Formats: sequence, structure tokens, C-alpha cells
Amino acid sequence: MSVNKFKPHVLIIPEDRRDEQIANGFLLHDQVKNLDVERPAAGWSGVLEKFQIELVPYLNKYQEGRAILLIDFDDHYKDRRDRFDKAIPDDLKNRVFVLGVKETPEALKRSLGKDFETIGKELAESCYKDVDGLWTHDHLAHNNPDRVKLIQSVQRILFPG
Amino acid sequence: MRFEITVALSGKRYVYAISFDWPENFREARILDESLSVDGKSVFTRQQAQIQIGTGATFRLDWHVFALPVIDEKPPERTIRDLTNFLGSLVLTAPVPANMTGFSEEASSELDEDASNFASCLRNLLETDYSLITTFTDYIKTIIPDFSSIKNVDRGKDGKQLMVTFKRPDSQEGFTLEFDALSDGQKSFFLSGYIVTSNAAGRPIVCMWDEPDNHLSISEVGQFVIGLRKMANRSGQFIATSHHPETIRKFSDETTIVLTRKSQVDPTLPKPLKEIDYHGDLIDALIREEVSG
Repeated sequence: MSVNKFKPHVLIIPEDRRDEQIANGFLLHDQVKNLDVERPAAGWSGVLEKFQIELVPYLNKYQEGRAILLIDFDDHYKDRRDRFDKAIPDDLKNRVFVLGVKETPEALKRSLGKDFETIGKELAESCYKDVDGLWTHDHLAHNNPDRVKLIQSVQRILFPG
Repeated sequence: MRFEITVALSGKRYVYAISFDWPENFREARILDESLSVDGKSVFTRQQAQIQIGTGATFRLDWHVFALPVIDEKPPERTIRDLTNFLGSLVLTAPVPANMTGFSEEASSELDEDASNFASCLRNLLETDYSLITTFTDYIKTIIPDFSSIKNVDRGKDGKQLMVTFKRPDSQEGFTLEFDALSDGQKSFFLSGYIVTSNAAGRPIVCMWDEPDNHLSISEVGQFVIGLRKMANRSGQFIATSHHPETIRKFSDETTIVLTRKSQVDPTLPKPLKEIDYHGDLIDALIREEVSG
């Protein structure tokens, strides 16, 4: 059975296959619950479009839902972040989170020498233990404000114990 | 027809291979050749009836009889026994839920390929250690929230019948029915519960499941596969063969092997997905046959 949409849950919308593998790695962490990974949305603009067309109505309908938009910033953090901030309705800002690598997932993979799935598992482990871990890596550290907000909002959903 | 398996056990690399042909006027296939090597060193080789042991000794064997379970070693050498024990512990399943009944005449430790003796296997597991019912029940509740309990009740002289109870999580309202009345998808969930519980119970299981997504609704496939992958991350191994996009997506490029054959008469060839260059979405690339071995 997929996540129970009437209970607190989180959906990840990955930009592409590489982000999907990172998200699946997170999902594979032994303690993670109430999480589902949607199909890749074909680029950051595809994530934005999917969010606006599919996720906004979904989140309005299912108040217990949260969404993580997993994109590549391609070294355009501010511009891309601004576009998403403008697109996220005010009443959903505390339930929608935008995370992603500074450049591309490949750059992070090369830097760490680990496959995407392993990276996802390690990010989940850091969230589970509430430590910085990989999140402070050069390619991920810019996510910190969102990560703090995200952890406050979803830690008990993802790791109910 | 040729089969080959490479296994890493206790830091050693085992390669076992066997091939068959079926000559005209033969009632059954015969073994053409068979071999086992460990870390590149030959343990035995075979050409039709002629067997040669690694030490140089030779003997003959009926060409319909496998050499692997026949050959034994002087203790404390356990090379062949370790491999045969491992092969014996493999769970190979292509379940046919319609054949899975809840009735068992006796307990069984070996799951049939079509899982038709599921009830006998679950009976064996719980007779060995009834406390495992908690592991089984907890796992099923994660995928069927209104599942309450499963019980074996006496039926006939030695028989047992599995009865399944469902209740709403927030009330006592519910009902009990025979396992046989469950849907094909529900039976698949219970089979996965048996595998997860067996794996947690003792020796790690290597489970090869052909088309685990059969009989499931599209919304159930992803979590079902992730549940089995999580089990294998704790111990054991889970290998799935699938054509289902939602199953394929739940594996990484590093854990996916693409099986391709160019025509019906060519052999099926495996190639790791990570060695295949494809662009964009994996499923789209599979559909346009950009991903092949």
C-alpha cells in the first residue's frame, strides 16, 4: 500500500533519474516511514510545472500531505530558488520544501565517490540522528535553512520510531 | 541450454556451470558438461558421463545425474557442502496466488516455486518459533493497516486451516475469513510477510522473486518492492525480475541488471545498467529500446 493520504505523509518529486535514485536511497533507510517518491518530472522546470498542476490541488485536498521538490540548482541557486518561492502559495509554504544539489547530482557523486542511492541513505541517516553529516558538504550546504525547516516539520512523520 | 551461477561465500568466489542437450529419441535431457571452481581453482569438471576431480581422480556418472550433490570432500573441507547448502537455502518463487490455499496437511520448510504450499511453510516457521508471529503480524500491518491477526485452526485429522482477521484500526469492527478467500494481491503480501519473517528468524535468505509486482495494484507496487529491499538491506538478498516500471524505478542503476536477447534463438545476455549509456528517464529509454544488453 502506498502512503496513507489521510495521515501525515511526505511526497518527493525528483527532477530526474539521478535525483530519483537519491530519493529512493532516502526511502530505503530502515527507519523511514510515510514517504513516497513520485516519478521524475523531467528537469527543474518539470518539477515546477508538476507542482503547480498536480501537487497544489493535491496538498489543498489532503491537508496532512507535505512535498519535497528535489531539483538541481545548476549553479543558479538564487534565481531558481526565487522562481519556486514565487510559485509556492503562501498557505503551503510550511508544507513544501525545495532541496537540491548546488550543481548537478553527478558533481556530488564524483566528489563523494558514492552512488546516488548510498548518498540518499546517508542523508536519511543524518536526518534520523539529527546530525549534519553529508548535509554540510559543499554541494549541499546551501540547503541548510530549508533542511532545518524541513526537519522541524517532518521528522516525526518520517521517523515515527 | 546452459546455466551458470557465480556466488561470493565467506570471501570465496564460487562458479558453478552446467549445460544440457536433448538428443532426438531421448526421453529426457542429458548433462553435457558441469563444473565447479572456487577462486579460479577447479573443484571438478565433467564432460557428459566423465567426471574429473580437482585432485586428478576420475569416475563416471549417469549423464542424467547431477555431479554437484554426489561429490563429497574429506572433512574438514566444506567447499561443496557450503555451496549446496547455500543453493538449498535459495527461495525461488514465481507465485500463483490461485494455487495458494490456507490448508496444510503438514509443515514444510521448502517453498514450492508457485508458493502453493505457503500454508505449510508458514506453519513450519511458526511451529519452530511461535514468537515470530509478532514479526509477521507487524510487517503485514505496515502494508495492510486493517489486518489484525492470522491463526491456524485444526481441520481434519492433522490438517490446519489459516484464518485471517481484519479489523478497523480504530474499532473492534471486523471479520474473519479463510486465507483462500483473499485476493491475489493480498496473498502476495502474506507471502512477502513469510519471506521477511523467515529472513529475520535465522539464516539470511536469498530470495529470487519472478515478477513480484504481479497481482498488485499500481499504487502498491513501489512500497511492496521497497519493503523487500529494506529486508535485504538488513540481511540476506532480494533479487526481482520485472517488466513493471514502478518496480524498475525502485532499484538504482548499480543494482539493476538488464537482460536482453536479440531474437528467440539467441541466448539472454545480462548487462549492468550502470554500464549502459542512456539519456533522460529510464522507463522512456527502456520503451524506446535505448537500454539493452
